[in-house]
This record gives sequence, structure tokens and C-alpha cells, in this order.
Amino acid sequence: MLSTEPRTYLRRGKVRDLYALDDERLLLVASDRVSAFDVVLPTPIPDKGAVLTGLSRAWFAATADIVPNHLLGVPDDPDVRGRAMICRRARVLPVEVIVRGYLSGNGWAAYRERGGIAGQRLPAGLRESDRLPEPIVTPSTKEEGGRHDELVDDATFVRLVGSTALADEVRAAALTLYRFAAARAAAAGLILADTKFEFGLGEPDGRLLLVDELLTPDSSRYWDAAAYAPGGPQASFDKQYLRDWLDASGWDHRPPGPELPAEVVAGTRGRYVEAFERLTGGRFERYRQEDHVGP
Amino acid sequence: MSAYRFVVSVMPRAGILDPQGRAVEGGLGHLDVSGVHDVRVGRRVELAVDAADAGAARAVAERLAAELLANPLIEAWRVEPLEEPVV
Repeated sequence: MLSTEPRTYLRRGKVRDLYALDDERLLLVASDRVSAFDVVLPTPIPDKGAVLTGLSRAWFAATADIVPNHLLGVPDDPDVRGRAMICRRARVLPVEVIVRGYLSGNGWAAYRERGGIAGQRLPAGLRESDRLPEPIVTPSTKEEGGRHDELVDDATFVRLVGSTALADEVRAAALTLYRFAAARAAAAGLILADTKFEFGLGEPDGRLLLVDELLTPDSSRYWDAAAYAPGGPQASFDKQYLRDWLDASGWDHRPPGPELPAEVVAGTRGRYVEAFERLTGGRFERYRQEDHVGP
Repeated sequence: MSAYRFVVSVMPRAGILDPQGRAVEGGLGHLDVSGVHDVRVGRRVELAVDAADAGAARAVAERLAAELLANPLIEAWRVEPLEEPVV
């Protein structure tokens, strides 16, 4: 448990824990838990929490000029070293702002059924994993208790956010962020197929802030550009190895998940570390030892 | 009215990782120095306030500290009278 600042436990997510430090600050701690097929597995992946936190921190720094964010600093606490962020509290907008540059997952399912996604028309003849002509914002609800997020249409998005002006601002920010991140990822040999942003309004001035985590493998779909082949599903850069092993093991995707053997843990950890090093341009060991992100 | 001089010290709050302090500690090995730890790096601001009395002047200095010179979410600050400027 945390040894320094007193904190109030707020929420335990699938892989992250949220604490309140005081009226103005939260502590977001990423665990080493990994989930696959929506089930949290019993075996943690060492350093996954630090990889995802390090990536969020690097992305927050790189995008601070595009949209301000909620990151204030990190705690000086050996128990959560490298995997915790101190964040400014904000009034979180109750919508997942998903940006898609490629057709996959829910977006692909919606396109197959209706030729568009949540009221946004797309050209005919697109295949699974095809690049979209332009990245699109496809907001969805935030569902609790394991229910899947639902895509919402534009009117609902405006209602959830509160005003057309704010919805437009959020959409513009999300598209700019996605384009920037997709270009960076491409330079690192990765395709950022889609990602989920969360926004909030800061106190007291109510300005738009990027909250939650940012552009991590948990909040995004990253594909290996060298292996990209549209016309079918693509391998998840970080989780495919794990998913393939789980399917080969005969598990029915219902909890509890199976314990992972050492080589699967090591292989999965390797994928996370490689994603970190490709996207930040720096060695993960240097992040762990010196808290340094970047080349 | 007189000019009252203050020094405002701004330091990272306890419990927040101080990357500059860590960087200084990391550099100690190059100097072959041991036994130095808990390095924290902050800012020192010297200023003069024109006011009718010391209490009023201090109130101005404290407001500046809290609203401009420090980010209270991640920094702690202290205001003290300045007898002599450093340089």
C-alpha cells in the first residue's frame, strides 16, 4: 500500500486503481493486471503498469500544446514507482471519445450492419481493417459492470457533453490528437488503428482537459505496420500473443481465467516493453531506473 | 508607505517526485561524493512590496505566492522577510 500521502480509495477498475489525495488531486495507479476477452487474468505481467504509465506520461508531455491535461506529477513512493500519476481533479465528461482511423471492432461491426458508424456514412466496399478515408470520432457511452460501451449518435453526444460548442471543441481536439499520435506511431512502425480519449472540465475555470490515460495499448489498438494486411482482423501488437495462447489452451473466455505459464508472461511483457521503446524512443530500463522517458 | 522585502521559497510538495532533485543525486557519483541524499530542488523569489505596514505587505506577498509563484497542487511555499538580498 502507499506509504506517503494519505489517500481515500475511490475505485478499482479492471487494471487500474483510483485514489483521492484531496479535494483537488487524484492518484491513478496502474497495476500489472492484464485482461483478455474482458476477463482479468490471475497472473500479472511484471512492469505492465509502469509501461502504460510511462507511455501516458510521454504522450501527455508530447501533446500538452494541443490540449492541456490533468497530469500534475508522480508520487515519490517506492510502492508505486513508475506506475502512478497525480492528476488534477476535473468534471469528467460522461462519454468515451473514440477516434478511428481504421475499420475494426465495434466500428467494423456497425459498418457491416448499416454501412456507417453511429450516423456517420462511410464509402461502400471497405474491408475489415481498411484505413478510413479520414479519421472519424465515434463517441460511446461509458458502461459500468462489464457491459459493453455503446456507440452514440451526434445528438446524444451533444447532450452528454452539454453543448454543441463543447462537443465541437472535443471533436476537434480528439482529431488533432489522433493525427499527431498516428503520425508518431507510424514513424515507430506501428499503426494506431483507434484510441479512446476522455475529457474533463478543470476547476475552477472550466477549461477542457485531457484526463485518464493517454494512447496506451489498453486504451488503443496498436498494430504492427510491417504485418498490416486489410481484409481481416489484425494482430494486437501487445495482446495477440496472449490471446492466441489462451485460445490454444481451450479456455472458454469465462472467468476465472487460467494462470499463465512463465514463457507467456515473459513474451507478453516483452511486447509491452517493445511498444514502450518504439513509441517513446527510449529504453524501458532507463525509465525504471531513472524515471526518464524519451531518448 | 514603505518598501517591505520578502523572499518566497517554492518547493515540490512532500510525496511528489522531484526529477531535478533526482538528477542532482544522480550527478553526485561523478563528483565522488557520498552521504548526500533527499535532494529537493525549488525556486527562490525575492521581491519588494510597497505598503502601509508589514502586515499589509506580507498579505500581498502571500497572495502572490499562492496564486502566481507556486502551483499549490504540487508545490509548497513559504514567505519570509528578506533582510539582505542574496546578491
